[in-house]
Amino acid sequence: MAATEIVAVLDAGPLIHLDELGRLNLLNDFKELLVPQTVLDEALKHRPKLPLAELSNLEIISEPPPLSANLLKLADELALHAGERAALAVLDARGGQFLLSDDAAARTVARVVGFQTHGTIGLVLRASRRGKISKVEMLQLLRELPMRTTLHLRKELLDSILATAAENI
Amino acid sequence: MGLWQNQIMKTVTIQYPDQLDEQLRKLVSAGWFKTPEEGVVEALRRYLSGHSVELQEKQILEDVEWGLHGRD
Repeated sequence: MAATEIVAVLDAGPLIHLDELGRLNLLNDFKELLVPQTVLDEALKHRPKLPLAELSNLEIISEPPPLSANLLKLADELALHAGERAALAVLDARGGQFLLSDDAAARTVARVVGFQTHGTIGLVLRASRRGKISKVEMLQLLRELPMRTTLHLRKELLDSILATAAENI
Repeated sequence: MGLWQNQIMKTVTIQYPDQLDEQLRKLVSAGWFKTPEEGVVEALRRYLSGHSVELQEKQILEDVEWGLHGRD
Protein backbone atom coordinates (compact mmCIF):
# COMPACT_ATOMS: atom_id res chain seq x y z
CA MET A 1 0.00 0.00 0.00
CA ALA A 2 1.48 3.32 -1.08
CA ALA A 3 2.15 6.05 1.41
CA THR A 4 -0.39 8.82 1.69
CA GLU A 5 0.47 12.49 1.20
CA ILE A 6 -0.42 13.19 4.81
CA VAL A 7 1.99 14.84 7.20
CA ALA A 8 1.13 13.67 10.72
CA VAL A 9 2.45 14.63 14.13
CA LEU A 10 2.51 12.11 16.94
CA ASP A 11 1.51 12.58 20.54
CA ALA A 12 2.56 9.88 23.01
CA GLY A 13 -0.76 7.98 23.18
CA PRO A 14 -0.83 6.23 19.78
CA LEU A 15 2.94 5.64 19.95
CA ILE A 16 2.53 3.81 23.27
CA HIS A 17 -0.73 2.01 22.49
CA LEU A 18 0.25 0.79 19.02
CA ASP A 19 3.53 -0.50 20.44
CA GLU A 20 1.61 -2.28 23.20
CA LEU A 21 -0.30 -3.98 20.39
CA GLY A 22 2.96 -4.81 18.59
CA ARG A 23 1.77 -2.77 15.61
CA LEU A 24 3.79 0.42 15.55
CA ASN A 25 4.26 -0.22 11.85
CA LEU A 26 0.67 0.89 11.19
CA LEU A 27 2.14 4.39 11.26
CA ASN A 28 4.64 3.85 8.46
CA ASP A 29 2.46 4.90 5.54
CA PHE A 30 2.18 8.58 6.28
CA LYS A 31 4.30 10.74 4.00
CA GLU A 32 5.98 12.29 7.03
CA LEU A 33 5.60 11.26 10.65
CA LEU A 34 6.92 13.91 13.01
CA VAL A 35 7.47 13.45 16.73
CA PRO A 36 8.77 16.10 19.12
CA GLN A 37 11.58 14.88 21.38
CA THR A 38 9.41 15.69 24.45
CA VAL A 39 6.73 13.30 23.20
CA LEU A 40 9.28 10.62 22.40
CA ASP A 41 10.81 10.93 25.88
CA GLU A 42 7.36 10.45 27.43
CA ALA A 43 6.66 7.39 25.28
CA LEU A 44 10.08 5.89 26.07
CA LYS A 45 9.33 6.16 29.79
CA HIS A 46 6.43 3.76 29.24
CA ARG A 47 7.94 1.73 26.39
CA PRO A 48 11.75 1.78 26.71
CA LYS A 49 12.20 -0.60 23.77
CA LEU A 50 10.08 1.24 21.21
CA PRO A 51 11.06 -0.24 17.81
CA LEU A 52 11.47 3.10 16.09
CA ALA A 53 13.38 1.43 13.24
CA GLU A 54 9.99 0.20 11.99
CA LEU A 55 9.14 3.79 11.13
CA SER A 56 11.30 4.85 8.22
CA ASN A 57 9.15 7.96 7.82
CA LEU A 58 9.79 9.15 11.39
CA GLU A 59 11.49 12.48 12.00
CA ILE A 60 12.35 13.48 15.54
CA ILE A 61 12.01 17.19 16.19
CA SER A 62 14.48 18.10 18.91
CA GLU A 63 13.53 21.74 19.25
CA PRO A 64 9.86 22.44 18.47
CA PRO A 65 9.00 26.02 17.60
CA PRO A 66 7.06 28.13 20.10
CA LEU A 67 3.27 27.92 20.00
CA SER A 68 1.40 30.69 18.23
CA ALA A 69 -0.48 33.08 20.51
CA ASN A 70 -3.81 31.53 19.57
CA LEU A 71 -2.67 27.98 20.29
CA LEU A 72 -0.94 29.04 23.49
CA LYS A 73 -4.14 30.54 24.84
CA LEU A 74 -6.11 27.35 24.08
CA ALA A 75 -3.36 25.11 25.42
CA ASP A 76 -3.30 27.07 28.67
CA GLU A 77 -7.07 26.96 29.03
CA LEU A 78 -7.17 23.19 28.65
CA ALA A 79 -3.97 22.63 30.64
CA LEU A 80 -2.16 20.71 27.90
CA HIS A 81 1.09 18.96 28.82
CA ALA A 82 4.47 19.88 27.37
CA GLY A 83 4.38 17.04 24.84
CA GLU A 84 0.93 17.95 23.57
CA ARG A 85 1.98 21.59 23.22
CA ALA A 86 5.11 20.59 21.33
CA ALA A 87 3.11 18.35 18.98
CA LEU A 88 0.68 21.16 18.19
CA ALA A 89 3.54 23.61 17.61
CA VAL A 90 5.20 21.21 15.16
CA LEU A 91 1.91 20.52 13.39
CA ASP A 92 1.33 24.23 12.97
CA ALA A 93 4.87 25.11 11.88
CA ARG A 94 5.34 22.19 9.45
CA GLY A 95 1.97 22.51 7.74
CA GLY A 96 0.83 19.10 8.92
CA GLN A 97 -2.69 17.78 8.56
CA PHE A 98 -3.13 15.21 11.35
CA LEU A 99 -2.51 15.25 15.07
CA LEU A 100 -2.34 11.62 16.17
CA SER A 101 -3.37 11.67 19.82
CA ASP A 102 -5.60 9.86 22.28
CA ASP A 103 -5.90 12.89 24.55
CA ALA A 104 -9.29 14.58 24.44
CA ALA A 105 -8.04 18.04 25.35
CA ALA A 106 -5.19 18.02 22.82
CA ARG A 107 -7.61 16.81 20.16
CA THR A 108 -10.07 19.55 21.05
CA VAL A 109 -7.44 22.27 20.68
CA ALA A 110 -6.21 20.83 17.38
CA ARG A 111 -9.72 20.74 15.96
CA VAL A 112 -10.52 24.28 17.05
CA VAL A 113 -7.65 25.55 14.92
CA GLY A 114 -8.56 23.39 11.93
CA PHE A 115 -6.44 20.24 12.14
CA GLN A 116 -7.76 16.70 11.86
CA THR A 117 -7.11 14.48 14.85
CA HIS A 118 -7.11 10.71 15.05
CA GLY A 119 -6.25 8.20 17.73
CA THR A 120 -5.23 4.60 18.20
CA ILE A 121 -8.63 3.10 17.38
CA GLY A 122 -9.02 5.10 14.18
CA LEU A 123 -5.50 4.11 13.12
CA VAL A 124 -6.23 0.40 13.61
CA LEU A 125 -9.44 0.69 11.56
CA ARG A 126 -7.66 2.72 8.89
CA ALA A 127 -5.00 0.04 8.58
CA SER A 128 -7.69 -2.50 7.73
CA ARG A 129 -9.38 -0.13 5.29
CA ARG A 130 -6.05 0.41 3.52
CA GLY A 131 -5.29 -3.30 3.42
CA LYS A 132 -2.29 -3.19 5.76
CA ILE A 133 -3.93 -5.72 8.07
CA SER A 134 -6.77 -8.17 7.55
CA LYS A 135 -10.27 -7.59 8.89
CA VAL A 136 -9.73 -10.52 11.23
CA GLU A 137 -6.58 -9.00 12.67
CA MET A 138 -8.21 -5.58 12.98
CA LEU A 139 -11.07 -7.05 15.00
CA GLN A 140 -8.64 -9.02 17.12
CA LEU A 141 -6.51 -5.95 17.87
CA LEU A 142 -9.60 -3.97 18.88
CA ARG A 143 -10.89 -6.84 21.02
CA GLU A 144 -7.55 -7.08 22.80
CA LEU A 145 -7.19 -3.37 23.53
CA PRO A 146 -8.27 -3.68 27.19
CA MET A 147 -5.90 -6.59 27.90
CA ARG A 148 -2.84 -5.49 25.96
CA THR A 149 -2.87 -1.71 26.21
CA THR A 150 -3.19 1.11 28.70
CA LEU A 151 -5.86 2.80 26.57
CA HIS A 152 -8.97 3.07 28.70
CA LEU A 153 -12.24 2.21 27.00
CA ARG A 154 -15.67 1.49 28.43
CA LYS A 155 -16.68 -2.10 27.63
CA GLU A 156 -20.03 -1.11 26.09
CA LEU A 157 -18.32 1.42 23.83
CA LEU A 158 -15.77 -1.15 22.68
CA ASP A 159 -18.54 -3.67 21.97
CA SER A 160 -20.34 -1.07 19.89
CA ILE A 161 -17.14 -0.24 17.95
CA LEU A 162 -16.51 -3.93 17.31
CA ALA A 163 -20.03 -4.41 15.98
CA THR A 164 -19.73 -1.37 13.71
CA ALA A 165 -16.32 -2.46 12.46
CA ALA A 166 -17.50 -6.00 11.75
CA GLU A 167 -20.40 -4.68 9.68
CA ASN A 168 -18.52 -2.03 7.73
CA ILE A 169 -15.27 -3.45 6.50
CA MET B 1 -11.18 29.96 47.00
CA GLY B 2 -12.60 32.86 44.94
CA LEU B 3 -14.76 31.33 42.22
CA TRP B 4 -15.71 28.37 44.40
CA GLN B 5 -16.44 30.20 47.67
CA ASN B 6 -20.16 29.34 47.77
CA GLN B 7 -19.66 25.69 46.78
CA ILE B 8 -19.63 22.68 49.08
CA MET B 9 -15.98 21.68 49.19
CA LYS B 10 -14.36 18.25 49.53
CA THR B 11 -11.08 17.67 51.32
CA VAL B 12 -8.48 15.25 49.96
CA THR B 13 -4.91 14.61 50.99
CA ILE B 14 -2.51 14.16 48.08
CA GLN B 15 1.18 13.58 47.60
CA TYR B 16 2.92 15.17 44.66
CA PRO B 17 6.55 15.56 43.59
CA ASP B 18 8.77 18.32 44.91
CA GLN B 19 9.29 19.52 41.36
CA LEU B 20 5.57 20.22 40.92
CA ASP B 21 5.43 21.85 44.35
CA GLU B 22 8.27 24.15 43.41
CA GLN B 23 6.47 25.21 40.21
CA LEU B 24 3.21 25.69 42.08
CA ARG B 25 4.82 27.85 44.78
CA LYS B 26 6.44 30.02 42.11
CA LEU B 27 2.97 30.74 40.72
CA VAL B 28 1.71 31.57 44.21
CA SER B 29 4.69 33.87 44.82
CA ALA B 30 4.05 35.59 41.50
CA GLY B 31 0.47 36.26 42.52
CA TRP B 32 -1.33 33.83 40.21
CA PHE B 33 -2.93 32.08 43.19
CA LYS B 34 -3.46 33.07 46.81
CA THR B 35 -2.55 29.59 48.05
CA PRO B 36 -1.12 26.33 46.62
CA GLU B 37 -4.54 24.75 47.20
CA GLU B 38 -6.11 27.31 44.86
CA GLY B 39 -3.56 26.38 42.19
CA VAL B 40 -4.31 22.67 42.56
CA VAL B 41 -8.06 23.29 42.20
CA GLU B 42 -7.47 25.40 39.08
CA ALA B 43 -5.25 22.70 37.54
CA LEU B 44 -7.94 20.10 38.27
CA ARG B 45 -10.68 22.30 36.80
CA ARG B 46 -8.72 22.83 33.61
CA TYR B 47 -7.95 19.14 33.23
CA LEU B 48 -11.53 18.05 33.83
CA SER B 49 -12.93 20.66 31.44
CA GLY B 50 -11.04 19.04 28.59
CA HIS B 51 -11.49 15.38 29.50
CA SER B 52 -15.16 14.64 30.06
CA VAL B 53 -16.25 11.07 29.33
CA GLU B 54 -18.81 12.37 26.82
CA LEU B 55 -16.18 14.33 24.90
CA GLN B 56 -13.73 11.44 24.81
CA GLU B 57 -16.34 8.98 23.57
CA LYS B 58 -17.64 11.41 20.95
CA GLN B 59 -14.12 11.82 19.61
CA ILE B 60 -13.59 8.05 19.54
CA LEU B 61 -16.81 7.51 17.58
CA GLU B 62 -15.79 10.20 15.07
CA ASP B 63 -12.46 8.44 14.78
CA VAL B 64 -14.20 5.13 14.09
CA GLU B 65 -16.07 6.79 11.24
CA TRP B 66 -12.79 8.09 9.78
CA GLY B 67 -11.06 4.78 10.29
CA LEU B 68 -13.79 2.94 8.41
CA HIS B 69 -14.67 5.42 5.68
CA GLY B 70 -11.91 8.04 5.44
CA ARG B 71 -9.99 8.58 2.23
CA ASP B 72 -6.47 8.99 3.56
